[in-house]
Amino acid sequence: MTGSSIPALKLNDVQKHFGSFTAVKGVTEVFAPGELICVIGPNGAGKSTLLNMICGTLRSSSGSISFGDTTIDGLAPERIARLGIARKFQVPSVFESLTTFENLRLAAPPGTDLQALTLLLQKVHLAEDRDVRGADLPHGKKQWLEIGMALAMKPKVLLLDEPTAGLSVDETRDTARFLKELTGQVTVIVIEHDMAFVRELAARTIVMHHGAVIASGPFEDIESNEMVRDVYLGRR
Amino acid sequence: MSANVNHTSAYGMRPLAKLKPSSLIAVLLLAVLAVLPVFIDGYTLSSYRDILLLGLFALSLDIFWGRTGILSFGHATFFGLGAYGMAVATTRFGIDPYWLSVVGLLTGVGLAAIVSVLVGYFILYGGVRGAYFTIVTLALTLIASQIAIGWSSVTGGDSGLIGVPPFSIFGYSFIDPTASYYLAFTLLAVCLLVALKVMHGRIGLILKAIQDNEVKVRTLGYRTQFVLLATFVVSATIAGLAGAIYATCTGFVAPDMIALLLSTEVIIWVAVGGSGTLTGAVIGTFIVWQLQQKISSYSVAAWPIFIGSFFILLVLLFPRGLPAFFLEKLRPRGKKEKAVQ
Amino acid sequence: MDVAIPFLLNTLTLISILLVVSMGLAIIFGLMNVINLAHGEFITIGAFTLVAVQAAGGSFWLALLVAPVVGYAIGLALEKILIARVYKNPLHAILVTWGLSLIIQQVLVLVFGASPQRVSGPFAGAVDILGVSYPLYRLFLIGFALAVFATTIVLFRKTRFGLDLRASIQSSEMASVMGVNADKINARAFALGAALASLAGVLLAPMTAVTAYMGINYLARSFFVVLVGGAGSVGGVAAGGAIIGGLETALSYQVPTTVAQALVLVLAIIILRFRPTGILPA
Repeated sequence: MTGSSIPALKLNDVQKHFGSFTAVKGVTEVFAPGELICVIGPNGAGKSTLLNMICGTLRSSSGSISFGDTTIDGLAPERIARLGIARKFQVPSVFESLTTFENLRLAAPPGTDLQALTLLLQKVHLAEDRDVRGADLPHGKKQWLEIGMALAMKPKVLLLDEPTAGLSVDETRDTARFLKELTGQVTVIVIEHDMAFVRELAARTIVMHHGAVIASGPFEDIESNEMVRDVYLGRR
Repeated sequence: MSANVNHTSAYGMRPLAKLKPSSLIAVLLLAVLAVLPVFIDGYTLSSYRDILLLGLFALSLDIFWGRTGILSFGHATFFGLGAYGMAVATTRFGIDPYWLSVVGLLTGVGLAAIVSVLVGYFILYGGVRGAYFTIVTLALTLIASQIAIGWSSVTGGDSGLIGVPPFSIFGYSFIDPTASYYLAFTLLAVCLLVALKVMHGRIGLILKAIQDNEVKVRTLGYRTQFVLLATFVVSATIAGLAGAIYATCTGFVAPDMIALLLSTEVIIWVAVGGSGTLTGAVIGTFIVWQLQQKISSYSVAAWPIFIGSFFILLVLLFPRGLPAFFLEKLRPRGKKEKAVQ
Repeated sequence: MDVAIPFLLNTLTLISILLVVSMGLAIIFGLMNVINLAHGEFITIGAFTLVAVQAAGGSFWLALLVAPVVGYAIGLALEKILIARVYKNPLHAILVTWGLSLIIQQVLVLVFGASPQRVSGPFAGAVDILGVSYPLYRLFLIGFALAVFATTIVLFRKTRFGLDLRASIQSSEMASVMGVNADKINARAFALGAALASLAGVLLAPMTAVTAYMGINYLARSFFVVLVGGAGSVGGVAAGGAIIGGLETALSYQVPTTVAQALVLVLAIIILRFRPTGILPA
């Protein structure tokens, strides 16, 4: 278990305002090394915005984000990426003109053993599509390639924004399985809408609504939480 | 299928790595060029030597344009700086003949490198890409050529400078046409082979990805601006090298070596050969050069009109360059999956 | 005073020419994202129209009317035949328009010859301004060019065409949903840009050497005006024109013009580094 070498990711009263609109209202969380966390909530709750601030694509309006001893809010995205925080975007954005293998090779640190890349290719079920260009891959496989690319970076933290969008039931289950296999080796933060997938992950779940965290705990507790159900049914 | 497809050896390399078509063609081309002096000599040999250097110039443009997709309209600036740097250093300061050429080379190549670093830094780190980049480099060449014509005390103005000595190193002087031919050939061969190796490797991959989606490449941790700048500077330096040696071979420099017309011509050479193939740049130079000589002999206006019409037709009919157009048809496609929406 | 007034007026001369020339470019660039490297040639066409008109016995004023029409017509034709095909691809636009400019230059050389052409301005002589003597023609040029600039602003703000144009610059999709015909707007915008450049050509001709290659210098400068000032907005053109024109004039008092232009290039690059979309983008 390499959990001890992964620093904790800490958010302290992180906020994001777009003019007069507040997208994220003061989130304070600690993500333990190697932990698997699910972030759920209705559309517009601020989940993606939160992820964007962690990986540097967006700058937080106030509050601090730290990774171990390093303050990362305000750093350029590529600096944050080099610190070991990998991001998979909501809409797959693989390199269309490169092959599957080339995509992985690019994402992996220089000098990565080609054998290791081939293993990774198999792990994300893309071994047959090794030489297929990104542009020619169907949506589901693009998702997997994106996850593969994020994993190829040997990250310490993996941020996944709706990794199962467009995947079949079986593919979704496979995805849940290999995400759970990563526990202890990588801190994984997953934004998801697919409740079956979230249940399968059986991880600590954070619920966001209107930019704030309204509940946090094991999935069974969240599932039976009255307030959460009201939010999803639109009563709040 | 999946059991056999990843047959790897102990080092993780596929045993029969496919040689890319452009590498094979490159080797063939170089082989032909290597033995050429056996069949021709004298004036023709000198012409081919000049074409080799211009081919090196075209190669330098393709290194940048071919991989990044960003068109530099200012490469004649770097070729010209190389040529003028060499010429001014070797004709005006009375340096010891033993070191003369080396000093000239360093001056010419150094000037090209420095200007490219300065211009490239400000533009590339400012996020300027695409068409804006092209315009700035166009203005660069415009101004450089105006300075070359205007600053006659140093550059010889309209008439340029004569008396540039042949390249010499360690006391050996490349006066003989065959010797200078092989000098040009060696430079071209080395640069071409190294460029092919590098571009088929990781750096080529990074550049191709940058052209695809620069933001994403940054999220993977790469300093894309630095990569682009480095490529630009290498490209400019090689152009300067070509220019410097060119000046020693022709014996003179003139403002047309730093002119917009030359910037335009080199773009055609690369475009005809197929931008991005590297070897194509050299082939394109050969093809177009012959044509250029024939057309210019009719009238002074004929060549620019030809270029103009060529550009227009090229864009309307063959957007990817002629050989690339055919290479596209031959390339084996990966297994095409039906896209699931 | 002796130095200040001519300096100020010289600066205004360059700025006002740049404004008229760059306005057209800003529209084409801002609206269609088309790099028109043949823009300089429209200036040349305007200047040569003056040559032709005067050779046929016509007056400067007649040329001032005719040139924009000629420019408009040629612009319209070129847009339909060539430019419309390269909207999606800036690289193609560059190659095509550069090719066009090469052809136009050589055709002019073939027809008119390579030596500078004879033109005469409408008034000779100088005027006394606060004790300093300044050419009357330049004063006229400043006034006229600024008036043209102001007229195009009015055109933008007050007419239907201007509204359609501005809407299309903001978003061509939204504009077409609101009934703006993209093809027509593009064609007219391009032609308008060409007409403005031709007008500038007539104004320039009496002050400078009229050759087939006179346009390229203004091409570079006007692109810098648009890039530094910001494409697609009137304010951008004004800001860019003031900076580029002012700087170049100021520097050319101290150093040769080519060096002045080199320095302006350097400055423009530095500005672009920190403000890649210009100072006042649309």
